Amino acid sequence: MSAATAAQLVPAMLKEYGDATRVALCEYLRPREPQRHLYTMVADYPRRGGRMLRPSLCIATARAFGASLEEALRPAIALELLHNAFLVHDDIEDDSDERRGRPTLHALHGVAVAVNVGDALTLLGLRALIDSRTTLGPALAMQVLEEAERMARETVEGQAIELGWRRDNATHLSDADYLDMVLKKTCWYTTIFPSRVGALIGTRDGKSLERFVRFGFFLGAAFQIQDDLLNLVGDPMRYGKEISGDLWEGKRTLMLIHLLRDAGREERARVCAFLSEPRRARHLADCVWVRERMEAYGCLEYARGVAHGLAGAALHEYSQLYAGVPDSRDKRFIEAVVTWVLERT
Amino acid sequence: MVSPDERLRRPKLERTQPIRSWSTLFEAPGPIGGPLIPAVEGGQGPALGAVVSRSVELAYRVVDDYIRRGQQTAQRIGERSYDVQAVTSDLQDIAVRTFQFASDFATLWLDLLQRAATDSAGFRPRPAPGGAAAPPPSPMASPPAASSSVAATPGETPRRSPVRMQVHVSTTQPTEVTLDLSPEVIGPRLVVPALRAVDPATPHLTDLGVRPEADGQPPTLWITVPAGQPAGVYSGVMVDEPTSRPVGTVRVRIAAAS
Repeated sequence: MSAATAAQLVPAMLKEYGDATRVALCEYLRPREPQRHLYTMVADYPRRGGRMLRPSLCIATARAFGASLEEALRPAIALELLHNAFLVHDDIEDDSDERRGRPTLHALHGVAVAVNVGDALTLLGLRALIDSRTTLGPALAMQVLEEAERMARETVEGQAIELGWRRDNATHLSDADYLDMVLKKTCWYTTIFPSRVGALIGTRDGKSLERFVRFGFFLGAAFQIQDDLLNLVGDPMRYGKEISGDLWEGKRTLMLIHLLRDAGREERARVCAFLSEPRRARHLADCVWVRERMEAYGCLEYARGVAHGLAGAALHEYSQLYAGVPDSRDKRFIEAVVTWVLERT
Repeated sequence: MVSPDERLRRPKLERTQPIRSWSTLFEAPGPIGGPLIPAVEGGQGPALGAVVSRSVELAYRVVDDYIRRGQQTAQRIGERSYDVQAVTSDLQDIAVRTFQFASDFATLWLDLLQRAATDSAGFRPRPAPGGAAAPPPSPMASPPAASSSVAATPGETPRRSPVRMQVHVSTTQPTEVTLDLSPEVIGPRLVVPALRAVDPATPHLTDLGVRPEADGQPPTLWITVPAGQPAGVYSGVMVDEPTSRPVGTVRVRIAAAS
């Protein structure tokens, strides 16, 4: 597939499946009481937009294996609701200021309210999973629920690792540590779960899902590294989060780990001192200096190389997983997503 | 006599200290004398090609190690099949874990239980991998007095083959049935006297019994919950009729109709 074809196909299908998910999502976000104190805020993040990569990947995988859109829709909705629940809580945990171009929920309404909104989004996601039994039948819906429980557990474990690194000011991390954390924190709910559940719905075979862990891991890790790169160099209008927000938060990205590994003793000590400060005590000048050191030590280029390598591995795994699957627009979309994650801005 | 020029000399060492880097953790480093990852021409840091290949190697090791750990865990837990018994217990197990933090949504939990009970007749085996999927059961097709068939296994029989028993419930209220059976004394004729609540004023559950094993089907415990039966927990014993020995307990939890 040519890069140009991929560049057209992915946005078109993200829009198509994203729109289908959004329409069905409205059923779960309809106004009800207590509207002002809860449900208006519950609908806030989902209505801010987003790429809809996760539900689209879930639907496309299910359809590539022969399922209908209808069969994959409830799990896709659940995924989007759980994703938004994670975002609300992540923003609190990271003390982030912006989400999708607007102030974060806790910045607007306070931490207590935002925590409750995140809980409500989680439960709405669970509701969508329960509702999936009408299209999937109870046994398959049960397997999807099992997958969702595992995904949520892996995600919170990954988040715990990252938060622990920041709390303890971990500065001797390896690339393997980073990949291990990303596998749990990002890959499970961004790419592994959508792929596994899509395949589960499409094939009704829960025994061969382990193969999708590799594909989802490589794709999700490439996605996360690119996301971290965009946080440093992205277009603020398109990125949706505060540029260099990860530096302000002291997030252990691959670039930061590379800098801590390659920097000289004095520079390393200065980076460690910067990271040891609480977010609100960090200074712009230090943040700019760390960013500049990353450039000087080739950290961004290094991370780009790793992301490309992982994307290549994802394509390899894709070719193995989908070798016997008939050609379709959905199958081509899944392949094209791999290159798209690196090219998005 | 050998001249100094002809003497064999030990070559100069290419390195004088160990190489400690993730890139050498799993395999030998590149050619001796070269950098671990070749530097970019005229600049700092590793060449892109080397970064790509090393990162892929590392990533494969990370994910394979992860999968191996998962397989070991799965082996410890034991193979879980999604037959009727496993689905019933797993559904309750997961729902309980998920809802622990949100007691306010108790009605959702009861709804889930109700649906599990009323839909369980729709459990069906999955086709072979890659095969055509069976059509899903028609949703909520059952009449108000829903009927269900689930099989239960006793909980404390780790070394014995499980006793199979179907449970058939007719109810209009969210109902959960728990059986605890003693496998070695299950006979062909079983009876269940009325189930009672703790409060003696609460009417007993009397419309129940056990149909014996027939046509390869396991014995069936059938229970009809009358409309308007007060919510609560009802319990009693299952008795082997010829010997009058109790072979297990039956517990029925009824929630108020929403």
